[in-house]
Amino acid sequence: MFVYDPKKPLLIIGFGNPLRSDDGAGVFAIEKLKKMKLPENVKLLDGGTMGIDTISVFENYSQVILIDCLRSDLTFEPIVEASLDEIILKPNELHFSAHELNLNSVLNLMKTLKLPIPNIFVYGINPESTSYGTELSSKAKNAVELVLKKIQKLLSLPKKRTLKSVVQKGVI
Amino acid sequence: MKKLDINVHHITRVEGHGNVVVNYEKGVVEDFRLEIVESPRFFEVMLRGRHITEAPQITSRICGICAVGHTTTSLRASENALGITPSEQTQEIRKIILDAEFIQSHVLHVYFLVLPDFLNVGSVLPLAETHPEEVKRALRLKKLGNDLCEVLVGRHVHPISMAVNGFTKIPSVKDFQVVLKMLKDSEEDIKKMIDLFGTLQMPDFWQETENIGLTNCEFALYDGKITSSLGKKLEKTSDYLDLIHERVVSHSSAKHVKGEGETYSVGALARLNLSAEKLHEKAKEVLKKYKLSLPNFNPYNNNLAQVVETVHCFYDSIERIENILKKGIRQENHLGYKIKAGRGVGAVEVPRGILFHDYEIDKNGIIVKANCIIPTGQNLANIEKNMKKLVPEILGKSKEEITHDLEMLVRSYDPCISCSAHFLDVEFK
Repeated sequence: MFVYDPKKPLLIIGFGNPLRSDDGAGVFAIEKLKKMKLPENVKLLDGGTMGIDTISVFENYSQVILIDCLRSDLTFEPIVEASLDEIILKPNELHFSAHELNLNSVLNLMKTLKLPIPNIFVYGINPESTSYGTELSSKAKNAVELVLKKIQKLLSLPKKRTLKSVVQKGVI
Repeated sequence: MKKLDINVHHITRVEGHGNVVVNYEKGVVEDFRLEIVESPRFFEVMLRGRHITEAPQITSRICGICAVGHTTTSLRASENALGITPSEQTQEIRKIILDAEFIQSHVLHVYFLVLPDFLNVGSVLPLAETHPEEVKRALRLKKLGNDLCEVLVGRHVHPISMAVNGFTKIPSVKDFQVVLKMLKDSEEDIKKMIDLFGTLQMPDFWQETENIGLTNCEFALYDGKITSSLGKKLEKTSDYLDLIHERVVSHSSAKHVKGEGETYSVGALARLNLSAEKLHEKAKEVLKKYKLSLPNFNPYNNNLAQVVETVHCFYDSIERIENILKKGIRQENHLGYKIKAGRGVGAVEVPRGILFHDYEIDKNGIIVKANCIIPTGQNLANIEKNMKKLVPEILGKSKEEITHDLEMLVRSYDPCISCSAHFLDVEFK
C-alpha cells in the first residue's frame, strides 16, 4: 500500500531510454512534469538507464513515484499501477525495461543489505514498441497523459492519500 | 551427433546475448555469436538529419554506464568537424569527468560482475548476503564516481552541462572543493579494493594479440595518438580507418573489426600493455603488488587491469582537481562558434576501450553521415579467437565447468552490449 504524505519530500523518477521509443516513456513524463507547477516537496529526476545507481537515489527519500515502461503479463491496460509490495512479490510478472539491473533486483539488493527502502508506487506504461526511435507511440503518449493527470490529482490534495494498486493477483 | 543444449540464465552478468557452439568430440568451437543489441548502427541512423549540437545529448543515451564516454567522444568529433580546440581548462575538467566514469564503471564490473565468480556465488544478490561489506563498499565507490559527475556536470547518467567547446555551467571553486573531499574520504575504500582483488587468482590462459589504444605523454584517456602494439601510430585521428577495419562476418550480426593483424583487443589490459609507464605512481605500486607482468596476454587479467586503472583515475583526478584549485577557475564562455561544413572524428578511451565517433556535417551543421565504433565490437573477434584456443585446453573439464570458464572469459572483457535479458547459450555437439 502506498500512502502519499504531502508534508514529506516526494521523488518522482522516470526511467527509460528515449532512443528506444516507448521505453523512454518515463523520461518523457518527467520532461512534461518539469513544465508544470508542482508543490515544493516534489523533486523530479530523469533516471534514464541508471540501474544500480538507483540505490543511492532511493536512500534519500521515504516516498517515491516511479514512471517506467513496463510490460505486464497481467493486463493489456495502457498503464499498470502497482505498490512496492507487488513489485517484490511478483518479480516474474512485472518486466521492467531494458536497464542494467532491473528494479526488482535493485530492491532485493537493498533489502539484503538492510538499506532503507522508500515507499514506492509505480506507474508502468504498457509499450507498443521499444524499437529504436525517439518518438513515443500515440498509445504511450496517451498513457503518459493519463499518468500525469493521476499525479496532478494526487499532488493537488493537501492531505495524506492512499494509492491502490490496479494490478490484482490472479485477476487476469 | 547428439546435441546437448545448455541454457545458462545468468552468464549473464554480461549484458547481452551470446551463443557458443562447441564440438565436444573434435574439441573445437564451431560457432560463436555475441549479439550487440545496442548496435551503433541504429544510433548512426538516428544521428543523421540532426544538428551537430544535439549529437552529444543523443549519444549520451546509448549507454547508461558510458554516458560520459559517449558524450566526450561526440564532443571531440563535433569540435574537430568545426575546427575548434577547447581551452586547457575545459580539457582538464573533461579529464576529471572521464576519470570519474572509469571509477564507477570499473567498480561496477569488478565487484558486481566478476567477484561473484571468485567467491562462488551466482550474482551480486547472494554476494550481498555473504559479503555485505564488500557490496556496500562497491556501492560507495560507484556512488563516488557518479557524485563527482553530478557535482561537476550535473549528473553522470547523461551529463547535462558538457557542451561543444566548453560547459553550459562551469563548476565553481566550491564544487571542486566538495569533490576533492569526496575523493579523499574514499581513499580507505580504494585501499581495501586493492587488497581484495590482490587475493584473487585469475585463470591461467595466454594468447598473444594486437592491442590498440591511444598513447600520449600522459596515460592517455582523453587524447592521444591511435596506436597499435604492432607498430602503427596514426598522426591524425581522422585517419583511424587506416588502422581500424570493420568487416561483416557471416556468423554474427555484429561487425568484426581488424587492425594490423586479424584480431585485436582494447580496454584496460590493452592500455596497460601500451602505456603502463605513464600510470600514476600509486597505480604502478598496485601493478607491482599484483605481479602483473607486461605486456600481458591473459584476458582474465583485464579484471585486475581495471582495478589498476581505478587506482590511477582516483589519484589522477585528485591531482588534477588540486591543480585546478591552485590555478583558479576562469569563467570562460566559449560557447559561441561558427558552424561550417566538415568532417570530424573523436577517439577517446572509455572504460571498455577506445571509442570512435565520426561525423560529417553540412554547412548548416546538420549531420549527413555518422559512424560509431564501440569497444565491444572491436573485441568480438579477439574473444572468439581466445575461445578457440581455450576450449581444447579445458576439454577434460565437465560441460558445466567449460561453460563457466567460457562465461568468465567473455565477462573479463566487460562487454557492454545491452541492458536487456541476459543469457549465453552454450551448445555442445
